[in-house]
Amino acid sequence: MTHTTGHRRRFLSDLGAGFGSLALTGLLADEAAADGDDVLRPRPSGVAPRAKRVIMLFMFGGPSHIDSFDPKPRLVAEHGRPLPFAKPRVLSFPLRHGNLVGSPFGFRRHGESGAAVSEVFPHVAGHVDDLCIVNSMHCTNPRHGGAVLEWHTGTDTFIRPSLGSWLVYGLGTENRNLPGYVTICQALSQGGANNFSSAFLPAACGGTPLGRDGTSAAKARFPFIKPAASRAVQKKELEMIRRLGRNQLELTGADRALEGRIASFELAFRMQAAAPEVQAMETESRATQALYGIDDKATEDFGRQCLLARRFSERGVRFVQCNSNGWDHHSGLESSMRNMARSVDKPIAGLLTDLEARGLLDETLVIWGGEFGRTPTAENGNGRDHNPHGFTMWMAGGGVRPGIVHGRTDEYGYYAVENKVHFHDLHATILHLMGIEHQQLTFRYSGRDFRLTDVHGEIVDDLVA
Amino acid sequence: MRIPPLLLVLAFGLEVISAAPPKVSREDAAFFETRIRPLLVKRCFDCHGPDTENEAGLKLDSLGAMLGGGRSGPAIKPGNPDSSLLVLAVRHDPATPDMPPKTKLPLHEVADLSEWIKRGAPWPGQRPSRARPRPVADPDAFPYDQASKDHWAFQPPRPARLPEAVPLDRIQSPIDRFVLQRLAATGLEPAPETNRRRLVRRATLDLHGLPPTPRQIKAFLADSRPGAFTRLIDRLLASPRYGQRYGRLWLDVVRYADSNGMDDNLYYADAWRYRDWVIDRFNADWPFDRFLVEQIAGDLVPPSPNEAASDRHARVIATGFLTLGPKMLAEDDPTKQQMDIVDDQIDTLGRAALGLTLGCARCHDHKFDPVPTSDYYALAGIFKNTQVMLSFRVDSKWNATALGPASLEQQLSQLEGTIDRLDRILVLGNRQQMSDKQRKAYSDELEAARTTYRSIPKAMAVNDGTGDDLEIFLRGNHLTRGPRVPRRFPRIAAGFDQPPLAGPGSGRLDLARWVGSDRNPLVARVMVNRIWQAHFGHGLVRSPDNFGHLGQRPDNQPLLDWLALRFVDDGWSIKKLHRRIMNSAAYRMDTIAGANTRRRASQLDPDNRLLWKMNRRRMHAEVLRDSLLALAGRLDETMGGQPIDARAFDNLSGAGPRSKIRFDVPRRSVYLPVLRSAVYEVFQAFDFPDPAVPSGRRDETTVAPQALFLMNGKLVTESTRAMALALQSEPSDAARLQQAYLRILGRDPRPDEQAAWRPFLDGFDDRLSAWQSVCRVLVSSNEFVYIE
Repeated sequence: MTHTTGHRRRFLSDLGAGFGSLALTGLLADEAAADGDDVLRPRPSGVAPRAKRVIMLFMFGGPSHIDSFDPKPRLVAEHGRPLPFAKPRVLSFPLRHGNLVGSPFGFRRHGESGAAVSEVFPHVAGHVDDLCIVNSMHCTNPRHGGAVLEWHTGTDTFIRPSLGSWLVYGLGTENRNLPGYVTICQALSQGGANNFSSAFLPAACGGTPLGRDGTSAAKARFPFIKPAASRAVQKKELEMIRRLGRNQLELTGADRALEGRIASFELAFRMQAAAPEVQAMETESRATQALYGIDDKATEDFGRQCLLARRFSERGVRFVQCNSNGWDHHSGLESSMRNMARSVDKPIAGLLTDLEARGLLDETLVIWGGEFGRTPTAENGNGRDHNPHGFTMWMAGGGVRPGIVHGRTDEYGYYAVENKVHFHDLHATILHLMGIEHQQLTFRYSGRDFRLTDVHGEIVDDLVA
Repeated sequence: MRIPPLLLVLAFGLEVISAAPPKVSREDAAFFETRIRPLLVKRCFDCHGPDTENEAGLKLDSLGAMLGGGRSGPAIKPGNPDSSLLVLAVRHDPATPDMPPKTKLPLHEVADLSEWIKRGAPWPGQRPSRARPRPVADPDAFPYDQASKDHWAFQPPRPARLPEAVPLDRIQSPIDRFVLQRLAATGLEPAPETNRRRLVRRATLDLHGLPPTPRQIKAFLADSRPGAFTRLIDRLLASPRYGQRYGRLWLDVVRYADSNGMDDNLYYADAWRYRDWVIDRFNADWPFDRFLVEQIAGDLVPPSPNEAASDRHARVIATGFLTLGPKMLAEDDPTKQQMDIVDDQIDTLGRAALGLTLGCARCHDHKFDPVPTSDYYALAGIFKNTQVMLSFRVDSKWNATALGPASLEQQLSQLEGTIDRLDRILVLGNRQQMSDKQRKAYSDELEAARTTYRSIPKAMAVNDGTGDDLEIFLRGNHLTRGPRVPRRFPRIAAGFDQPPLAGPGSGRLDLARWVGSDRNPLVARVMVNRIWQAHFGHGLVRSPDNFGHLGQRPDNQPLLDWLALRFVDDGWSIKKLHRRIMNSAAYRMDTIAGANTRRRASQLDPDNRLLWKMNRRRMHAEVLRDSLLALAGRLDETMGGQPIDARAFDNLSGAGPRSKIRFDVPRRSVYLPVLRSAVYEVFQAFDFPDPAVPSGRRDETTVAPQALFLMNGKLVTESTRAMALALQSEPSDAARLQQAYLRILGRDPRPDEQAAWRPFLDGFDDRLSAWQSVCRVLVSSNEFVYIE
C-alpha cells in the first residue's frame, strides 16, 4: 500500500484542514462530494469494496447468546445439574456461580435458512434470511472494560484507535459537512472515549459522540452545534475572520495551518446546518417512524437511534454506531432480557426493512452484538455471568453471505468449539468487506507500523458472499 | 548427553526428573497408546509432528520434545496439568494461543490429555531426561550490536567548545553561537528580532499561559533601560502563575488524572495533592534531580535533621507519580493486574525521565533499542516490590498513606480493611443468600467507613516491600516463567558493571538516585529538551519521549549537550534554564523571516530545524480557556484543592458523582478535574493529551469542533459578552476598538482594519451584541489563537 502514501498524506492534510473547503450547496452525500476530491474515493487496495458504510448496533453489557440466537436443548434438559466440565481458569464472579440454567425462552426456526431465533426477537426473526449469524465468537477478557475495548480497538491492554477510526482513516469520508464517524448515545463508562478515539491516528478520524448514555436519542446533540448567534450575524463574523486571516497571510506568505484554520470555520458553519437537518426526524413519514417503533414508548429511543443511523449513513457518514446500554443480566435474566430485546427488536427490523426498501442494504454493513455472551450456569439463581469464550454476533447487508449460521458452541453454550471467530477475525472480515486488507491498513507511530488486528486476524471466507 | 537433575530443575522449573530408566506401568502404557498417541497424531501432528515445520518451534512427537518445548517454554509440566501450556492451549485459555486454532477438542480429549499429564506424562520407551534444554532467556545476554550501543543518546553529553566564527552582532547568549554556526553553514539568515509588543505577549503566554494585560504591555514598552526583557522574565518567573503553567506540562508527561479511567472510572480523590505538589515545586524552583528522586522514592528518602512533618508528607505525596496510572481494577487475573500496574510505572518512568520506551521490552527484547527483556524484568522486580494496591483481585483498592502521626495511619489501615471487606461482601458475595436487613446493615457500615476515610488527610502513595528478584516472563506471559534476574537498571544507560543495590527493600531509592543524576546520560537532556520545546514549539529532539533509535536525532546535539551540562552545573535549576533560553537572540526572533530566507528555506529546511525563525504555536487548550476567562475579567486565581466534591472510590460514571463534576467554574484550567475517558469537551476539542498515557507533546490539529466551540461555546459567549460590557465605558467606537485590540491581540488596530470594522458595526441594532461580535471575531482570529 506504500504506493498510495502520497494520496494518504494529501487526504490527511485536507482532513486536518477541516475536510477541505468546498461550497455548501446540498446536503446529501453526492452533492456535498461534488468537487470530486480524492479524499472521497476508497483507496485502491486490490479488494473490491462490498460495502461502503457500517452501522454498528452495539449491545453494551453482553447479551446472552443462549437466549437469543444459539438454542441449547441439552442445557434445557439438564437444567439444575452441575456443569459437566471445568469452568475457565479466570472467572468473573466465581463465588456466585451455580448450576446449569436452561433458557426460559422458546426458539423457532425461521425463513428459508431455518435458523433458530428466540421468541424475544420476533421482528428480527422475520429477517433471518438476511442475517449471517456467527455463533462461535470469542474474545479473551471476561470483564466489561477489557472486552468492550477489545471489540472496539482490538486490545484490552493499550490505548489504540477504534475500528471506526481505522475505517475513516482508510477510506476517508463521503460527506464533508459531517464527521466521518458518529456514535449515538455511547456509554462513557468501561473505557469510555477510548472506545471511539482516534488514539494516534489524526484527530479527525475519531468518533464524534452524539449524546451519551443517559441522554435520550431525541435530545442528543453534537458538542457546540447550537448556534449562539443568528445565521446573518455568524455570516458577518465569518467574513471578518476570513478578512483578518487574509491580512495575516499577506504578511506570513502561504501557510497551510493558518489557511486550514479558516477553512475549519467554514466547515463548522456548514455543519451547523447539516447536523440539525439529519436530526430532523419529523421530515420522515409517519409510516417510516412507525416502522422503527418511534410511536411506541418501549421502542422509541432505540428506534430513533436506528433511524438516525440510516439518515447519517445515507448522507455518507462512514461509520455510525447505535448503542443499547443495559444487557448485563447477572440476575433476573428472564424479565430483563425480554425488556431489552423488546426495546431493540422492532427498531432493528425496521432498519433492515428500510435499508432494503431504499436499496441501501447492499452497500451498508450492519453488525449486531455486544462485548461477550453469557454463561450457561446460573448466577444469583436466575441470572448469567459474563462469557467471552463463546457467543453470537451477526452481520447483514453489504457483501455478507445471507441466511447462514456459522460456527457453534458446545452443547451447553459455554465454549465456541467449531469454526471459532475471534474479534480480530471479524475485524479482518469487516475491513475486507469494506475493501481494505487488514494487513495493509497500517499507521506508523512511535517508530513502528500499527494495525487494527495487530499480528492476528484471519478473514472468515464463509461469511463473505 | 546426560544432564544432571539439578540443572534440569533450573532450566525447566520441574520438580524432579529422574535420570533413571522410566518405569511405565502396563495401565499407563495402555492409556497412552489408546488415548494419547492417536490424539497427538490426529490433532497435533499437522503442525507439530515429526515431519512438519515446527510451528512456534514446538514438536510434540516425543516426551523430550514436549519437555524441551517451543518458544513459549516447556509444553508440559508432568504431574501438573493446570500449569502445562499444552493443557491450557487445548482448553483455549486466554493466556495461551488456542490449540487447535479454530476448533476446540471434544471435552473428553481435553480430559485425557489432562489426565495423562497428571499421571506424570508416562511415555513408554522414552526417558524424560532426554529433554534437550532449549535456550531460554539468559539474564546476562545482551543481544545487540555495537552500532546499537553507540547510539548518541546512550553516550554522556559532550562538553563542546563554543563556536566562534559567527556574526557577533547577533549573539545575545552562547545558545546563539550554536544556532548561528548551523545557519551560517547553509547561508540562511535568521529572522529579525520581533517587536516588543509581540515579545511581551510571547513571554507572558509562554511562562504564565495568559496574555499580558494592557498595563503589563505598557510597563514593558516604557522600560527603556538595558535589561528590560531580563527583568520581565524575572517578574514572570516569580509569579505563582508560572508553576500553574509548567506544572501542567509536567502533569502531561506523568499521565496525571483525577480518575482511574480504564474499566471502572473511580475517583482518585487524593490525586490533587500530587498536582499541587508539582505546581509548588515548579514555583519553588526545586532542583530537578531532587524533584525526580522524590517522585520515584520520596517515601524512602531519609529525613534531614530538624525537618518539619510537612516536609516528609510532601515526599510521600510525590510518590503519587507511581500510583496515578490507569488500572484495570476489575481484573480477574491477579498477576496480570499487578504486572499491568508495574508496566504502567516502567513505561511512565521510561518516557518521562529517560526518553526510552522501556515498555516494549515486556514481551520481547526491545526490537530497536538495546533493552533486553531481562533489563525490563530487572526493573520490574523493583516495582513489583513496591506496593500500589491493597490487594490484587476484582474491585481491589489502591493504597493511601495518612499525612499525620502513626495513630492516624493505623486508623486509615483499619478503615481500608473495613471498606475492602464490606465491599467484597456486597459486590462479590452471593446476594441471594443475604436478607434485605443484612444487606442494609452492611451498606450502612460501609457508608460510615467511607465517610470517615474521606475525613483523613492522606495521599495516594506507595509503600515499599521486600528485595526479591523477579523471573523473566517469557513473551510477557506470567504463566511461562524464565530465569530470575537480579534487580538493576537498564544496562545500556547505567552500565554493565552495576554494584548490587544498597536498599532498603525494593531498591527503589537506588533507582531514583541513579535516574536523577548525571551518571545517567539521558535525564538532563530529556528535561532541557522539554523546556526548549515549550519555548520553541519543537524540541531540539523532536520526539521528546523517545531518545532511542526510533526517536528523532537531535537537530543540534552540541547545543543540546551544552544546555544539559549547564543545567546540571546550575544545580538542576529549571528557572535558570528558562532565563538562559529566553535571553537568547534565537528566542526573540520573529515568526516571519526575510523573503529571501523564506524562499531558500522552503527548499533547504522547511521544518525550521535550523531555527531561521521562531515557530508559530497554537495555544494549548488550557491557555485558550484561561485567556478567555482572564479577558472577561472572570478568572479565579485561587490555588489548589480537591477538584470534585466526591469520595474516593466513587464511580464518576455514576449519576450522583457525575453531577458533582463541574467544568463551568472560573478556576485556572489546571485545577479543573481531569477525568480519564471523559476529558472536558473543550479540552478534548483542542488536543488535550489522553491522560491515560504519558505525553510529552501536544498535537496541533485543526478540526471543525474547535471552530464550533469558538462560534457557539458557552464559555466564549459568556466571556465575549463580559468583554463587550467592559468596552462600553470607553468614550467612542474608535476607543472601544482600540481597547478590544489591545486586550485581545496586544496591539493597536491598523487603519485598514478600523475601516473594515465600521460597516460591520453598522449592521447591528444592539450595541452590546455588536461589540460581542467584534470580540468573538478577535478571539477566533488566527492572530489570537497562535502565539507569534
